[in-house]
Amino acid sequence: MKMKTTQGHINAVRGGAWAARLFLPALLFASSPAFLGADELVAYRAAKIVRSAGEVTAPGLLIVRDGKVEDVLAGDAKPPEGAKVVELADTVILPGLVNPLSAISQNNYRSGPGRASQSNSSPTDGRKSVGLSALNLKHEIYRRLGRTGYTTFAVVPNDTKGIIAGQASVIRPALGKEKEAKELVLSDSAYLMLGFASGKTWYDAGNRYLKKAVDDILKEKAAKKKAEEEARKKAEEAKKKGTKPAEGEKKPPAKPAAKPPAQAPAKAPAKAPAKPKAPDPLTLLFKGEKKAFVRVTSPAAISHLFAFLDSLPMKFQFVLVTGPQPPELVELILERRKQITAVILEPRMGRLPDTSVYVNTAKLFLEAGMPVAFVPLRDTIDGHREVFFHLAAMVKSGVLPHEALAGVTTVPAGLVGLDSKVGSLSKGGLANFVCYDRDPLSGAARILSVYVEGRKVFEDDPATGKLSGEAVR
Amino acid sequence: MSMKLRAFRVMNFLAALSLAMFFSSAVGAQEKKDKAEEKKKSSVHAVVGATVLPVSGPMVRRGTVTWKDGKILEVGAELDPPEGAEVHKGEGLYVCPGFVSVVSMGVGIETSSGNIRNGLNPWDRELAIALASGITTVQALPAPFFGGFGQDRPLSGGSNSAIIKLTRGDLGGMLVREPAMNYFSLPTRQLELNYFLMRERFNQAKKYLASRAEARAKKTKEPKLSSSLKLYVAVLENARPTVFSPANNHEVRIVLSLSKEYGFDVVLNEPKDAWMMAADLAAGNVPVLVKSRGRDFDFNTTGPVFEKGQMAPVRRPAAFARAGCLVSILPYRRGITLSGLAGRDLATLHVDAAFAVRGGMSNEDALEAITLNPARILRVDDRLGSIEKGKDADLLILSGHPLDYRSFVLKAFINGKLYYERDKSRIFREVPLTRDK
Repeated sequence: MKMKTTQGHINAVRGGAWAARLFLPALLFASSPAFLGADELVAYRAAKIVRSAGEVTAPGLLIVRDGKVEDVLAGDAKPPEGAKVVELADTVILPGLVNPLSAISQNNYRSGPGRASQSNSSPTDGRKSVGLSALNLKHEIYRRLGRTGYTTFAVVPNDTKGIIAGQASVIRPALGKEKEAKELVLSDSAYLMLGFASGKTWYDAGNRYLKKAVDDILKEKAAKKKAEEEARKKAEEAKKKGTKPAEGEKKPPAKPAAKPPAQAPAKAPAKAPAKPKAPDPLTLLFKGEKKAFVRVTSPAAISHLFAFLDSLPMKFQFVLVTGPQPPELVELILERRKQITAVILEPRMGRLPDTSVYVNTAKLFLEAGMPVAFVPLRDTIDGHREVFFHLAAMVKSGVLPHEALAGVTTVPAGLVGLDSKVGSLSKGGLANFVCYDRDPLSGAARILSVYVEGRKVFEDDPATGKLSGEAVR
Repeated sequence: MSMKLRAFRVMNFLAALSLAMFFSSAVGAQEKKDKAEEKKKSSVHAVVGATVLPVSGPMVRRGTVTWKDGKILEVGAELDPPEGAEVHKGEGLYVCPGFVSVVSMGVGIETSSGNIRNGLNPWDRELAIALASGITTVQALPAPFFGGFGQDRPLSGGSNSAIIKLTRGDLGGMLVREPAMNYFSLPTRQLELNYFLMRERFNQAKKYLASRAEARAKKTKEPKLSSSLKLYVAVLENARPTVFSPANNHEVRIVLSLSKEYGFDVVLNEPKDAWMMAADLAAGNVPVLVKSRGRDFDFNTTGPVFEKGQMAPVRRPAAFARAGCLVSILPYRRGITLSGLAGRDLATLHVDAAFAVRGGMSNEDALEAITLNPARILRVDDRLGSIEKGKDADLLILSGHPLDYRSFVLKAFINGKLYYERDKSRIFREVPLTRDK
């Protein structure tokens, strides 16, 4: 009996533990203000709200309705009626960070692919693969993304390959209730990821894919022109005939007039059911309807990329993804300001070759007015969490604080074409934001909480060091 | 700390930072302006008052060299520079054509897969060092796969090569011609047998060329070329010179007879004992590529440096030159060896020429052997190798005579553009200039 009771007692305790495990997250959920109902209205009061890089309200009141930013008011403003007020006291609210180039969705995320300075391996044609296709929602990584302070990720399917690595999809961290990977996606194909390196194989691949796309466009244009000219000629001939009706009476024979109508109905049904072809992303690229990121690592690769692009009869605008470069290379890149819309860099210093003289490549670009976006040094959860530590080093050597902040918020949001939704706390945008306990560039800053579309996905209690939220699994 | 105080501190910091940035950006803007003005300057340049060594002619004292758009306009004594020209001071300095290295390995090449033109690297560190050493043009060969101890490998058949200029950072200015030469390795074993096999191949190639010419004349389909005949056909076409590396004089004779029989130009690469038959080579207009220093690295370090009956390497270039051969001096190593023995690589080509002077060559011949002669051998002497009107403005301003080991290149121009300036470069900066007073 004694034994039994003990066993029963143990069972009861175990049951309690299970119950606690089951219900605790539920309780947390319930206490989370952003999960109260569909029509919710929440006001967050904080010591400082960074609306977007360089625009600060301190203290401020962030008003969120249904997972979207409604307004940012001064801290002493009266919150709207019916709003639940959350006091965040001494914290700094930043817009959720945006990573414009990541491969974190892939299984090898621990080793950290997706670096800006990573070299391209071999030339392939991945234009049909989309970042979305690489998502595996069962993986823990999607929930963990939430704890990084990043709330938007542009993921490429196969980032280590060139010449066309694929199309990037923009996703948000998982909130835990998604059933399909699609639900994470903010944008299906934000841009086309390209790469180039020196060597004949790359030129051959470039001619095989990019040059061919250009040739097809030019052929199409030429065909159109020809058709138009023919139509014009026909119209002119018709006009001429019209001026000479007496002579022309005999000319229009019955046969050709009869033939086309006979042919046309026969052809038309054959054409109509043919499924509408999906437009080729490369064609769209050269027509200016698709964005492109081009990754080139070494100085030689940059020279060869430019030489190859110059050999193409048509040009396209792109975002250059590269590592730290010496000043000469920066000048070379800046000469193509019209073609290169922005630069994506890692927040680390370069060195003048054969010296220990450090160069801040980002500063050189920013001084020349080139927009710069930063990607974390390592494409891992920890890499994303420590991005401000590296950005602080960049600020120390000349990048302005608001430029550093823009480099992880507004600039990358613009590059992936979602600047109205993410990257800033503007009206109508998604309520993605991060709460820091102090200026994030101070080095000692700590993420207190992260909100994705108004829902708290992560909380770090500084008093107890206890982590909680959706992102903790 | 209260929030206000913290905010105040942050603001202070920002203000200081933005002030600092304002000043630095103002300086940057000024620099940019200067650079833009520099670019606007006319493309006419002149060196005035220098001792000019044109190589194709006698030395010119207090000479002026002018060039425009990458081509040399004028060379002469005490000429006035044209109006609006950018004048480079030459008083007390020497001007000579950029050195041409008839071989190089791994200089200016990033990858050699496929062809060289698509694998060039204008940002190569070794390219920068070679340029700082006065070399403006090289025949680029890819680095060998097994390159232990920075050791040279014999040139093998069919390796790709290109003539490139060392325009640092400027990919567009690099390529002169690709391929540069045919490389033909003589099968040394069973030489007699291979000789007949080679003749057989040459005969087949000759037949192929005849049938191709016929097809072209008739405008019919050209016959197919088998891969084993490709090199032989290229040699017979004689569009570029063919390099042989004969091991002994017997092989030299075979090469000479083949070239005579089939009518193609040959270049002998390091013919060991060919100085004995230098007169024959001169009569047959066969150029030679020779080193003026030591033997190549040998594991057998206990043996004599050169065998009995051989000529000391330092005297070989002079022996060939005296016989009337076209001599091009090879560097001790074809590449830049930063980890190996310094002063024995491409960076000291002019010192190799100076060694040849020590062996009995004249100053003029030695300088010609690293400028105009290699250009002739590479068949680019219409553009490179000397300071003459109409040629490419590839020239050096040096602190002293180019064959003086104390001399340094102060400025190096390629296609009329300045690609190296000692004062602004980090290469050789640690070495002070020493000159006769």
